[in-house]
Amino acid sequence: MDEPMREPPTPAEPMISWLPSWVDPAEVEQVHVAGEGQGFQLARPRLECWPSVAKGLRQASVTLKGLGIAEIVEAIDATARRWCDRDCPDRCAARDLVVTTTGLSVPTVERSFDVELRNYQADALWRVLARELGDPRVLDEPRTDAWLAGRTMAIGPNIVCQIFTGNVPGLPALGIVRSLLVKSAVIAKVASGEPTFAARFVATLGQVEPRLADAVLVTYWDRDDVLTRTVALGEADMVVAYGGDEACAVIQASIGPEQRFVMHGSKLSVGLLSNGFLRSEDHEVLAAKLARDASMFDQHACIAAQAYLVEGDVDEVALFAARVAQAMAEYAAGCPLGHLDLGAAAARQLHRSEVQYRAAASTARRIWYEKDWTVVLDDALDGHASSGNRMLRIIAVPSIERAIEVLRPVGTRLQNVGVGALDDEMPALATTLAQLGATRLCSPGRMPDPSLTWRHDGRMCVADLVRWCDVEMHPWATRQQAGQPKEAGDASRAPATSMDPTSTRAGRGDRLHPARR
Amino acid sequence: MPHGSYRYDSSFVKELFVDMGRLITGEQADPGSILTRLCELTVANSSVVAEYWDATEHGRGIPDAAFKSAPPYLFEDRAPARTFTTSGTTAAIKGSVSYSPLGMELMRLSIVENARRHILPGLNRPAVIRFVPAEEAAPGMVMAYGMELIATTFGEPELSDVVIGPRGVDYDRLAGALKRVITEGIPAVLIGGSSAFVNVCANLAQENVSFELPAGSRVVDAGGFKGVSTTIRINAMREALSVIFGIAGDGFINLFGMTELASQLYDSVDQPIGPLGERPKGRLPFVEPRVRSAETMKFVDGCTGLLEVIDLCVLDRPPVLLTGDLGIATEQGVAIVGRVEKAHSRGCSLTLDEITTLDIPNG
Repeated sequence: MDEPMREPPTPAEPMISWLPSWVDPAEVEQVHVAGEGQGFQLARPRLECWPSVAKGLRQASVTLKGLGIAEIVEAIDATARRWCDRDCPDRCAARDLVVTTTGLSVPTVERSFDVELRNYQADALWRVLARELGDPRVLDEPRTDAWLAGRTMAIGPNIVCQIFTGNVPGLPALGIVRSLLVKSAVIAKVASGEPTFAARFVATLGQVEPRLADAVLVTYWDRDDVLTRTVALGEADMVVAYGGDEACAVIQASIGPEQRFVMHGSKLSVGLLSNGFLRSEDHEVLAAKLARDASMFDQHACIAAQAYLVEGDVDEVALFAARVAQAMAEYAAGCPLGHLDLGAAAARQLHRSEVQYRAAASTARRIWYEKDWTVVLDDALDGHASSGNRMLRIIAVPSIERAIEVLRPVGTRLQNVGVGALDDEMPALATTLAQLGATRLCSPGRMPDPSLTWRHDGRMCVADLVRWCDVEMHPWATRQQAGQPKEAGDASRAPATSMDPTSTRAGRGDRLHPARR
Repeated sequence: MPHGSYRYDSSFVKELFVDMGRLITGEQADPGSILTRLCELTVANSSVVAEYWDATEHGRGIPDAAFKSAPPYLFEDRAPARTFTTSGTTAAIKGSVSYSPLGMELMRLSIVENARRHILPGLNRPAVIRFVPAEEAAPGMVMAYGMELIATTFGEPELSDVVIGPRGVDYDRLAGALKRVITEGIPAVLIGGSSAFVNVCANLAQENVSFELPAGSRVVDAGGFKGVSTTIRINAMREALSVIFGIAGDGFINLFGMTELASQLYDSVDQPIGPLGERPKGRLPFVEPRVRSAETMKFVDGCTGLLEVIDLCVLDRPPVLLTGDLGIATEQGVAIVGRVEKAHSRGCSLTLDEITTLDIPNG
């Protein structure tokens, strides 16, 4: 890929907030936040004005609820399509700001935007709606539900507060899009580590459909600012928090009993290669796939491979690890590692020293590294050296069964597993990994590309947001509805029609997209 | 014994031991020659360290984590006389550090000499009040050993005491010890970890209890904020100690010690350098801090990097340690400004280091 390799720009302190157009300027205060590197500015509701602003957000949610889901999908799709163009001015501006605030390289941010933003095009949006809600138009009106022998409607909260992390460029779009899909207004609290993307994305959304952008407030408060946090969270019907366990626990402690809370906490991702698969593949190609799994997002995302367990003896796996090292170098040549702050750089040097010491004690351990990457051949998953920033550990295991045992202690934290296995190995392996705790299995090389349809953290993240209202035991509810199965009461047909996007209920291909109201 | 290695009772080791002792006590000895011979001993007696130095550079500090994975001990032909356990501040796995009889003697000499230079000036048989367990109660804790050694070597036996019991600080015992000191008019040396002092000050302040220790009394804090909820600035801690114990402004001494080192580093000047007011730790003929660049691992001056300590009082293992701390190199020494955060969480992403420190049930 031809990607620009240039020094990050150094603009003045960026404005990171987004306020709906209806917010009264008198209710807003200007805040300056001094970052560790570059600081930033924001305009946010004065503490005493949050109730008034929240009232406006609730009204904006009412407006959204008056829109058809097709209109909302269309607007998000149009925004995403603009952002999928690397020359889109909004995207370019956001990219430069993200580069400046995170230290990530330009190509890393571009690639992150590419995989993130394509998830918000219409086809992906309809798919996730159909998969999680059955009929996407349940967001518009009560729709026939065959299992119920009646009708059902899904209602999003009036206000969802989404608390974001800064580890993956573009990630805030995910929570904002999910909230808008269920017609909820959003308080989007960005992270100090990357506060700039969200406001730019919403600005584009506003150019496409102002009513959507008028339902989003992008803001920030410091982790020690308990007052603002308490007041802002207090206005939300639902809070979705991304982050480490400790940070999420602080948020959860601020949530009232009447509020719903969803946490996307700490997760770990790894890969696994069976020996049969290893021997059946071109090692150069396979190594490049592992390099991509470990290098995208500079390995900061919870879906990035921290380690690959490879079935084989040490010598065979060491040969492959050397190939992976070469592939990591090639990946870095086109997409360099970002700037590391002092702490991260020190941690990486210390990790390398530890591995070098451990490697001196055993031929089963080796290390390859250059400035932008590290590959470690190791004989255990626990206890030693991996710090992110493109440090991939390759662990030789004598059998797949042993690999599963190695993973078992971290099973509850498992997220994404890149699985390289032969077809006849997959059924048992997929079942075992699923039971172990994994929430996504994919081919090596595809770990950074989860679809929007994937059940993130094993949850239905759109369905998680809605409340359902069923209409049953009512003659109106059982009458045939346009575009829905004739026999609503036939329970034996319902599972296939409600869950299968290729069925008549959700439509095949373009029939996934309901007609605009 | 591997071919070419030095036996514990060899003349090479004996002469090295004698020279190290001379260096510590200020007699004629060449630190450069001692370091060279210690490295030669290390290469000869430890193939692991020799290979590590081949892969990195000769004489580079071994990482503190080495004591968890493969603790280095250079004398196969001499069982350790004593083994201490590392505190395990950042991981569940604890390390072990072993000493031969000669190694123990060198550590004893170093602790005593350093205390004589930095703690005792102007004092004659002070009351040494220890905020760490007695050695007998914590035989694997090097700080308990070292502080008891200081107390028994320099302290007034009738007035010195240990105020840490099985359930933490024994406040009745502390009050009794301090009252005796005040009655006798003998200066006291309060010695312990920073977290102990912070917690004691907070508890006594809450109870409205304070003491006015005799002039010349001082506090020796050995760092460490484990168990303290927020990071405390050095000056804030010292102010609290002044209020509670009546310690004068020049009565504070901070030392940096690790189980993996035989020697401690003391403040060279009372000049805040680090973000929390950390003072620079000075070099002595037998122990020297220095800083390596976090980017290149080359030695740097005037900036922050990885702390490496050359300890010429260590006979039983390599004499150079990468401590796992960050340090700021200055002309006056190295201000030690905190641990390197190896298990760095990024949003919802866990690193492998981090996950090994989580409480995850097996099976």
